[in-house]
Amino acid sequence: MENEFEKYLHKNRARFEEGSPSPRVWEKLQRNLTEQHARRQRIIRIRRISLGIAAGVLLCIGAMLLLFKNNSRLSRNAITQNTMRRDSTIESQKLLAEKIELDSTERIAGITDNKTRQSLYSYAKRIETRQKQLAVLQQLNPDLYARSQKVLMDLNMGYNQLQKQLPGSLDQQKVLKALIQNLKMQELILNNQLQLLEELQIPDNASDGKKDKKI
Amino acid sequence: MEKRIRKYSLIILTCLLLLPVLLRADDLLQKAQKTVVKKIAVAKNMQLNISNQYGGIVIQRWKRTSAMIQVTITGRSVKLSRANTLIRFVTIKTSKIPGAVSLETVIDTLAQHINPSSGEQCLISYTVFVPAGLKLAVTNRFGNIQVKSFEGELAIDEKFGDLKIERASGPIRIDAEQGSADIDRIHGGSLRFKGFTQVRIGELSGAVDARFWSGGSVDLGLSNDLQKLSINADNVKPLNITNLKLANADLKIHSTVSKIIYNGRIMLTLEKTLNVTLKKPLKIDTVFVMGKSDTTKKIAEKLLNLKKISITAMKSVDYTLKTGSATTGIKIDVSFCVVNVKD
Repeated sequence: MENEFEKYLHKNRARFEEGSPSPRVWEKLQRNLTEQHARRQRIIRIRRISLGIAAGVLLCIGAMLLLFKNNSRLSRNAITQNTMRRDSTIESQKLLAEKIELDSTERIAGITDNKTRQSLYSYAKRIETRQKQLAVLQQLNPDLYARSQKVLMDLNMGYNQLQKQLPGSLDQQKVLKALIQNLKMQELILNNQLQLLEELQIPDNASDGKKDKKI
Repeated sequence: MEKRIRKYSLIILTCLLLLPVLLRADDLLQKAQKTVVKKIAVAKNMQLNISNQYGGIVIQRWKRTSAMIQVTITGRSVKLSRANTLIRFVTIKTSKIPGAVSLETVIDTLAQHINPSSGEQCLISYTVFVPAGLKLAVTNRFGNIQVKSFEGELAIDEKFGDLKIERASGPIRIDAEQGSADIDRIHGGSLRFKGFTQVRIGELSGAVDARFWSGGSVDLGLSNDLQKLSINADNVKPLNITNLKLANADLKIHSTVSKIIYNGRIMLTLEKTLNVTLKKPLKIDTVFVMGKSDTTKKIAEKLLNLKKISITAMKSVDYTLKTGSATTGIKIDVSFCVVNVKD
């Protein structure tokens, strides 16, 4: 059973084998093939460019993600550091306050005479108050604070030496008098320092008055 | 019952009668005294060293060529025997090396146990008579030093006692701590005062290097015989310097957190704002403005209100004060001080 197309092929076979397409047909075919090839090349190029752009965008996104991640880690670190710094400041202030209070207790250790104990304790407490007032300078200007403490540390050393001398002293009244005098001097120095700082401070007009620190 | 009341009344009456006697127990302390006299032949350029504790030292020049030291040891206690024991704890040790003789108060700290509540005490006082031209080094702890008159090189090391120098010629070296000093005149030397209540030097002459650390007031009078003066003051309030005109000196002050007052006016450094106002920059770097001259007011109990402290108030400031044809230089380095300079 042959269909009509096959019948046609059998019938005209000779004509097909002998003849060839006209040069116009070949030319048209050639042109079509070239155009198709060029189109395919263009598509491939566009695809490559698109893929490149996509890869670039992906790289950018990746880099941005990395940067963002690092930044957040850095800011997290900064926050942690700030918190740590604040904690350490609070801690150091706490330690300073504790040290000052401890100094007051240590100052009367080993002194049996009640009257002298009272005097020493009263001076020690006043020194404690002044030291706490001055402690704000530690935050504002640590170098200056250290400088202000130098003479007081020196006097404290003298006080400790006197305290050690007391038990074996030939005239304890004289040593006790020297101890009181030492604390009196420390209080005087702290008073002078606070007064000078208050007198010499120049209020900054640009700064907000709300930022003032009361101590 | 009546008998019992009588008995108790008698006891109470006796107690009441004895009370004033008991309260005045201090006055009933027995006194024991011992005097030690040392005579020392003084050779040329010889140095005499004296070291004492718990008592005063009085120095006086005399016309003889030798030196004499009289030491009085006084013991006080309720019992005379105890007072005698106290003075036995103290000995005066003399040692000699070529060119120097030393006298030292030695206390047997192991043997003595003084009960402070009993009022017991021991006092060791020196009276030193010296010829002119002697080198004298005096050390004292818990006692005063008084120099009535002295001619020669003098070195004083004093702790926990006051110092008074009435008449002394020759260079002086002073190292004093916790006490006050009253000196009429110093002609050259080095001075170190620490933790003092008050230092007064009536007249400074020659070349003087002075350091005042942590104390109350310092009063220094300059003289026309002043050659050089260098002062380092830390935490002194106030440091008063008078007779600047008489000394005919240029003054250079380096200050940190300090207030400088000249003839009752606060000295300020030239700031930008002042340059604008004055149009022409001044030749000298100081300007005077009227200000508070009262530096003695107390801080009382008010709270310090530290506003944002300006950096200019905290950093070091230099002042120069030219007095014309000055030949003398005064250098002052101060921190945490109030300096008061007067012509």
